[in-house]
Amino acid sequence: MKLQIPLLICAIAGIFMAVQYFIPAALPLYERVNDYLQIVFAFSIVLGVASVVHRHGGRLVRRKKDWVYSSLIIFGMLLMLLAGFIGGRGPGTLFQHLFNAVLLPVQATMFALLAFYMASAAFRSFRTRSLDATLLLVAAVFVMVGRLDDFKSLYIPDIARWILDGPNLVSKRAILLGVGLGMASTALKVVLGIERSYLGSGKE
Amino acid sequence: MDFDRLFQSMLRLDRRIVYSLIFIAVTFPFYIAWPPFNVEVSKEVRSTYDIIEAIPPNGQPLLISIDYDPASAAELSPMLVAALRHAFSRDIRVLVISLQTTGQGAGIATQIVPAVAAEYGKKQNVDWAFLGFQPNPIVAMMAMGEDMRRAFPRDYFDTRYEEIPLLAGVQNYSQIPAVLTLASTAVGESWAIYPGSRYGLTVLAGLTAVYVADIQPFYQSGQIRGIIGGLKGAAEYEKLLERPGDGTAGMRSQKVVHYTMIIFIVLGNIAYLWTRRRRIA
Repeated sequence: MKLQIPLLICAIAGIFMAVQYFIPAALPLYERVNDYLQIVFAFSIVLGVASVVHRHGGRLVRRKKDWVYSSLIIFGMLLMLLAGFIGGRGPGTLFQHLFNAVLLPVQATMFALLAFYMASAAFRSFRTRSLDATLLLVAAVFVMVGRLDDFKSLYIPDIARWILDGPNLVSKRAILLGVGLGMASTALKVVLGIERSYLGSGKE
Repeated sequence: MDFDRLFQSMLRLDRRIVYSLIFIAVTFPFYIAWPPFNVEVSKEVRSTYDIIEAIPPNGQPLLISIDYDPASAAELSPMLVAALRHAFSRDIRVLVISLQTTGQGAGIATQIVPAVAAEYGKKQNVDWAFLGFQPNPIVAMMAMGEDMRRAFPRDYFDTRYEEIPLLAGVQNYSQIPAVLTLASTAVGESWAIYPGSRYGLTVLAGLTAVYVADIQPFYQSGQIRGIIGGLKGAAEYEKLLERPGDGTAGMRSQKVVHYTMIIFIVLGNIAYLWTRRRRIA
């Protein structure tokens, strides 16, 4: 029963979501299922917070390696929670100030560091070692210059545009079609109970 | 001149030199407003602009979904500011939501939307409203297709949906002329796949430059009607508005960085080919 009931729920839910598209009378039930999905997803965030507290709280209490970083995570989370619950979250609140002054620049900085790594990696690795690598390199240079709308007399922006609209589009579309077919077949296997890995290994 | 030594040392160039040059290339154009940057408006940005331009003033609201986190703000926030300026300058009402999973898009909305609205003297809940964020994008998109209240019963500031004048008569996508999703993830694609195909919603997408190549097939097929791609797209939109902003300023930096990287790549390859030829000889 531990196996059959989840499989049955999955099959009914999967078939319903596919069939409701063609049955207008199923709309109220479809809306109800959407509400359930939102509630279930909200719980996953609670689970995520609980997991962070459990992992880093435990490390902090036992003074394990790097416990200082764990204490910062717990402190930051509690600070944002308290700031949001007590002072609200609109413009001018402590919550928004913390977001603007800490979270926003920190995340932007982390992402901006990529520019340095990319430049260094491009200098060291972007080499004309083979025909494939040379083609990639030439295409990259054309697109980089083309994106700046320079050298119009040499048709560089037009060539860059062709690379994006031609070879890029064709390959992306082929990948998308492959992914779409793969997703459809996997969904069918899950609904029919052939693919059961989402149920776990079955071991306690 | 000893080219062997020169190219050998070039191949062993300290990465701190590369980092320093990139740092200079990024920061200086912000302060000295150089080099000049003349952007050509692409058809994707033009169609985005035209669709927003065609929305009747003081009518049904343009939906803007802030689906990015602060990591992508440098590229996408200039687009958000430009789109808001476009809408508010034409008295187009704006309904803002965020489907960024961790809720950080809500922080960006609270930072930017009220500030731009204030530039044009627009009133909250009358000319614009921010409904908040939903952590499950696809479910929220589908729920909004039937009844927006089910996804957002209250706005971000805890006002009930029914008490927001802007939303009077707005039940689902039928009353939304277009959605502009600003995304750095597959959420942009989901807008085309779900509300676009099932409910016929006009989808416009502002995307990070790396993600544009992924979404291009949806533009070609007509499932996405307009794309603002990367910082350049933001600069193009600012050109159409005739109001340069962070997108145009950022493109000056991007221009210098692109050329710096190209110089690095070319020099690296010259050194590589020279030393390889020597080794073979």
